[in-house]
Amino acid sequence: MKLVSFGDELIAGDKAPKILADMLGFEFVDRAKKETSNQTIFRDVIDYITNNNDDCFILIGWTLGNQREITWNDQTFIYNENKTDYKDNHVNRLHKYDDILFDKLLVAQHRASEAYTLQNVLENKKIKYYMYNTQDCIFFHEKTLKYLKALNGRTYHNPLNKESSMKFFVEKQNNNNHHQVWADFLHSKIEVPQ
Amino acid sequence: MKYLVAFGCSHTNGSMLDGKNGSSEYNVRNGFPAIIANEYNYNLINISKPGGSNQYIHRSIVEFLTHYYDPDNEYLFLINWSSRNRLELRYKEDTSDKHTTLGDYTDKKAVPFTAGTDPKLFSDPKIINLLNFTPYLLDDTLEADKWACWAYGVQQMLQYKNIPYLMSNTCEPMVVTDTNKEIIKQLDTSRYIGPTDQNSVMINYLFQRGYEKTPCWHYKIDGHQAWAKKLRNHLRELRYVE
Repeated sequence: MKLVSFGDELIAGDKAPKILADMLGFEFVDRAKKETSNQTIFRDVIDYITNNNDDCFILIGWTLGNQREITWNDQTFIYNENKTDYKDNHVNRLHKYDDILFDKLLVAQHRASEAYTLQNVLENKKIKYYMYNTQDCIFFHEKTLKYLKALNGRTYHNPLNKESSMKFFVEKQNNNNHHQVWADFLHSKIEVPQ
Repeated sequence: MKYLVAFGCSHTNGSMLDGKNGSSEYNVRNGFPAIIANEYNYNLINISKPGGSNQYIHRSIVEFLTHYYDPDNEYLFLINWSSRNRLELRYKEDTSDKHTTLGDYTDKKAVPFTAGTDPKLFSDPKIINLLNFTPYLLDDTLEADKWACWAYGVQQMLQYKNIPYLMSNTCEPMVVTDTNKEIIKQLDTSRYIGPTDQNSVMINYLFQRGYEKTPCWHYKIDGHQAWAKKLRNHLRELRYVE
């Protein structure tokens, strides 16, 4: 059995998902990236399950909502609302439109739609999975309420609560080994495949 | 109750069917989705938007499933994918800006953003200026990869929920890339008419058969009837209708 981890810079490498895989005795496949977006993660998961037929447990750490893929000079990269030192000034000029590109409600609608789609895809394919947020949450609004209610609370840890995201959860614990803390937490939450 | 739920862009919205409007109640209720719904006694739910992107189509399918779907009803989904050079934006909730088009469950704050859109269609100057940045935001290869993932996701989702559906392309074929080729291979072509085939695209299919089109590549009632007939044949093969 493999544990395949998707997510951002907070979990890429020998971090909580790797510790969890070791705890479970699973082979670890690291698909997390230092630069990513939720849209990228959605596609990475679909790319993995359509290219691999192995027994696996999918672990998805959704990242910050204020990141999106853009393309310039044939290069696709992650455009981050908080990064202002892009080498190409054209890219920096895009910040003027961040309130539109990262409209909270629209970002939440797309994020919840893609999480809901993956939930259904993985359940249809009978692939065990668990989702969590690494450092923020899905924006709550009356127009996102029903999307959010449809997310499975047993397989997506508190999508609405920023304090429940990995970063904020581990910082509140009296233990500096944050990756072990989060691995222990995930271990307590997931339904381990037999 | 039986519902035919159609998702898509202007072609599904029936743009220009009445000879003058991008969106009108007549157009929404008389295009190819309505022709099929009427023939088989379905109530029509037309969730489409002129300029609608594949991102919008994917989201509106999820929105329907999470907001309006009732497992006690009978459904047939017609999913009519759009072109790649589009994305979805939103006007702010606290402004009076609206993007008004007709259809069912329309959200007047949702803005269809297409490379080359007439700026007059937007009321927010920032969105107008953002048109200058479309090459950053709409890369052909990346959009092809996204589209394949949305289509695969919808296929799996509807299979899981046991909802009958038929997908087709209205504007262009899905483009095969290094990263989406395995995903495309796993699309169910019995329920998705020629995903990568130019000749299976609605506008090409009708053009090749000589149906009259408007300068903006929309078809009149005879074109919609011909496309409905093609879809109907596939629906019969799937035994969704008689």
